[in-house]
Amino acid sequence: MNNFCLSKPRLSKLRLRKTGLVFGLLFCFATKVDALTIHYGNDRQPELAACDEHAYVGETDKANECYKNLSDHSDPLVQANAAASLGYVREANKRFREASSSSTDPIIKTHWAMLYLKTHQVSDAMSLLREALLYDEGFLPARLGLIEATMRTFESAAREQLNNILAEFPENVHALMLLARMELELQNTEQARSVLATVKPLLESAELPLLEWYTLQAGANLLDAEPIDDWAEKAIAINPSYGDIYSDVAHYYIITYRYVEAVELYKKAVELNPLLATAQRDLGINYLRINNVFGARHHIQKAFDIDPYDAQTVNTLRLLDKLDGMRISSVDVPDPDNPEQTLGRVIIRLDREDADALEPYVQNMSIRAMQVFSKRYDYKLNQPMIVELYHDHDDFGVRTVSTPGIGLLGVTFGHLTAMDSPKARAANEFHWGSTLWHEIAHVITLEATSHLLPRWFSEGLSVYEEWNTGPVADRTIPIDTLLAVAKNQLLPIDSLDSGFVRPTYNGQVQVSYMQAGLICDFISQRWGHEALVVMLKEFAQRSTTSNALNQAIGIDGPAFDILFSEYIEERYGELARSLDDYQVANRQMARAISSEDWLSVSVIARNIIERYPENVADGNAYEVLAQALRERDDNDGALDILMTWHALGGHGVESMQWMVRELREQQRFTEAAAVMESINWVNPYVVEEHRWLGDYYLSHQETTLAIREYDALLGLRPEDPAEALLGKAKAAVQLGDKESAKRQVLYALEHAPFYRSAQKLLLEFNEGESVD
Amino acid sequence: MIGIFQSQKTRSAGWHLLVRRIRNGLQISALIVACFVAPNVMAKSVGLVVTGIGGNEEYADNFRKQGLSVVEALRSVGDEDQDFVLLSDEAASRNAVLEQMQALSKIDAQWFYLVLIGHGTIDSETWRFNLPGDDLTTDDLVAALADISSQEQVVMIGTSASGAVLDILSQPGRHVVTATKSGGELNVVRFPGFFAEAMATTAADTDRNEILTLAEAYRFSNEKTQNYYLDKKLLASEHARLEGEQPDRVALARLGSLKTAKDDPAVAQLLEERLVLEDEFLALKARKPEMDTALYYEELEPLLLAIARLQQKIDSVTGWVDTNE
Repeated sequence: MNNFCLSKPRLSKLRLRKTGLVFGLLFCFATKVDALTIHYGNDRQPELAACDEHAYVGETDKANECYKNLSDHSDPLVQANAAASLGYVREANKRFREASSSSTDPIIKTHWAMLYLKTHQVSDAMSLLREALLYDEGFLPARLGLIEATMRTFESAAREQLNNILAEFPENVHALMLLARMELELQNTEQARSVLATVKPLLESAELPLLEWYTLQAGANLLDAEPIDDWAEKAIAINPSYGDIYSDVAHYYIITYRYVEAVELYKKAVELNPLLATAQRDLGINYLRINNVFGARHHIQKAFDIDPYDAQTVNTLRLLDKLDGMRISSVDVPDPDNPEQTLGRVIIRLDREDADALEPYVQNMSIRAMQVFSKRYDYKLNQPMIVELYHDHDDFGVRTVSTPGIGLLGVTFGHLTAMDSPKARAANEFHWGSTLWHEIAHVITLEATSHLLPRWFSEGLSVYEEWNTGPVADRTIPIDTLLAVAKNQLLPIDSLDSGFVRPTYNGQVQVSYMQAGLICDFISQRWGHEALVVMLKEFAQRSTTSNALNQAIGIDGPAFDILFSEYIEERYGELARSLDDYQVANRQMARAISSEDWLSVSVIARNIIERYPENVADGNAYEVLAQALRERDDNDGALDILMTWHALGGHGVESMQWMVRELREQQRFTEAAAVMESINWVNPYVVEEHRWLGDYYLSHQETTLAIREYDALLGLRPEDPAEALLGKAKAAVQLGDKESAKRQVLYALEHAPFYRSAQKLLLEFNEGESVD
Repeated sequence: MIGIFQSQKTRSAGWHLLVRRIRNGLQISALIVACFVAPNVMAKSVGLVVTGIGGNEEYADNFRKQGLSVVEALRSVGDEDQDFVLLSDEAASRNAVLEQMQALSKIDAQWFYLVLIGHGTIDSETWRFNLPGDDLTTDDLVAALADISSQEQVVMIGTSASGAVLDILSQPGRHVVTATKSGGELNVVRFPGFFAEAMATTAADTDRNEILTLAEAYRFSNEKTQNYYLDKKLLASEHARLEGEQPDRVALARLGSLKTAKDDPAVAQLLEERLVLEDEFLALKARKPEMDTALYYEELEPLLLAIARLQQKIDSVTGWVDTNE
């Protein structure tokens, strides 16, 4: 009797709901195929290893039969592992639990952990592995398992631990394979190939399959832009259904942001083995990244049918349902130098609740960004750009990495960029305009290089564009970055990517963003913006960083590092060295605020501003000084300070709203409008700002902007839409579109029949009746 | 519970009421459009606004200002200013409130308004309106209101935990507004501040007919309150409630030219004409869902033009200069 079949996983309600079909016997007759696991350690029991032999060569039926025959083996660990190999997750979990309840053998928890790792539950796997190490702190399979789990969390600790193991066991095959994988992750192909050369004879002498070895060789080829076909053919010769050779290698396209190419490999993987759930899932997820929603749904559904426990699959299916409900609009971007021509099309996807209010702004910025970046980088997009904003941060998380809870604000996959909408975050804390600007810069630079530019350069250009052409000029360098300058922790330009991919200290990713931005800014200031364009074109030709630098500015990476270091010293050296004093001054200021000693606050705040005038971020001294001046009834002084702060990119909404009130009181309407415009890029949900700005732009004949404001206002679904409708009517008059104007004025009066201003306009339209 | 967002299928009776009041003051009888159950043409309105103890100067000052705004707005719908009383600070004791309600109950008034603004608390026995000295309890309120003979009553309890009295105060002929949905919402409420704002400006008069109705004021205040919490990304700790039928028929304040030309017979005559047009407008709007869109707007335009021309005449008579639009 086959015990496993009786205890097959039950299909979830979700699956039944999604498919409307019943595949209840799938797990009895058509066992799912996971990514093939090759068991390198000698902790695998011989009975299982015998079955594994069939699995390695693609004899799936034989392997399954073999595993099934172990279902009533006398060793519960063998039973559990056999169930796991068959993909009977719940059954395996149950048997591991039973086995571990009466044993302190670390092997049980280690193998149990591997089941968790296989089912994407990394933190649970790590807990079990740590428990195993409590039984035996030197237990090698558990130590290696822990490294494997740590690698999935992108923690740099994994490398150190692996080096320790290799120092003890230099010929451990599993450890060497992990090291090769780790080197490839860092795109160190030379080191990876060297490790692979070391491990090959060891694999052969242990009579272990070379399947993964071929995969890693293919990965190295892919990263070096060499063909992978030979390695793939060798792997397939061993195992004709080894789809992993393509799906595992596709991962190296993913880490280099080449989703279109990755999709082609995933397609090959599922063609080779349609039951490979992870490949079906990743094909779906990456179809979604290149905006093939139909293809994504097809393959995610297939992945779900094979493996309904995969969180990424389930999350993505749910996201697809939400995508169906989002509102899509599009706009063609005119070429500013030749209005007859278009630069491209922008497709905007927004949550319905957000769409009316945000769409005018997203359109406005997308058009401007495409115009600016196309010109600055001498590149025209060859496909529509897709811009998505999510008002639920978790939806954005799933869109990005198929799981909620990420710390990002925006992400770009190529032509498609996705980000949080301002509603996804606490009001007033998120400058969504600059994030959108940053992401659209990525769209252009990624596409201009066919995704071949290094991460540092892509991020650097986006930060540089935020600073130089974006909607806010905030160039605040965070204290963490200044600390890194002080500690000499900035990375050489040639290895700056590792600061993004494998950070070695807390906050290094943020430091790397800033360093990359400063590098681009420095190059532009010293050699001109054109040097950056030359570099971009070099990267498109697969240049290394040093080569690109050489072509653009005539020096290589190490020589550049010296100049950059001098530049940083000149700009931030003194501040970085006196950070302790700076922070002491900030603490003194905080104490003076709490004791409401506004005179002292003013003095200290001025001193802090003098030390670091560019700091306009949260907690900056400008807003504090303005508050101190207001407390002393010096509103004019406060306004002057805040005008300086705003010009430097300060964008705290409460301060800006105070500025607007003051400026309006002083009849400085042009400046008030500029500040109000800034508010909308942080908080676009304030009715009064849109109303006032709409009227302001209308009175200054800036009709397009006026319409944007009235549309945004109507998008907020105000209780009283009549004013915005009348505004649109007047804007239509300015554009000479009497028909539209009349329609809008009727809409306005339909809401408010006694609205005198609208009545006057209607009377004017009606045979030019006098309205005075 | 009624939904205040129901479409306005009948014109505002508050509008009728005010027009009639103007006419009544001039001893002019009028034939009112028969399809509406009109309030008594001899209608008189009285009211009491009470602001409770603040606990600190900021709250006390806010309550005082809100009470003042509300009573001034209510006076615009009454005949005499003294028909609307404001009790604040030390003057607003439990006894003073009950005595004042007793006094108002003796006046023969069609409409009675009661507005309480301040802190409310609740214990195992009762809801309490915090006043200097003894608090006003639910029982006090129920008993005092029972003595009020006015057929139409509006009670607005703008305090924390005020939802606790919603059910017990509800009865035919009475509109009850509470700042919270239940006694469990105990935090300080923002709703009464926005309610006072609605009554002090033209912002809430969305149809711009210069009569602020209970429906308009409630809608405005409720939206502002919810937006307050949304903007601050806070969980809303208050959810206002409104009980009573046709709150769009309850006038809370006259605005603009109506306020200015309170007793002008010429204006009254023109307003009568405006009533008829407004009726036609509302009737057409009610038919919109069943009509062809183009036809609807074809019929709407001449009607709106007629209203506009009439409004010009009214403005010409009142000498009203628009400064708010």
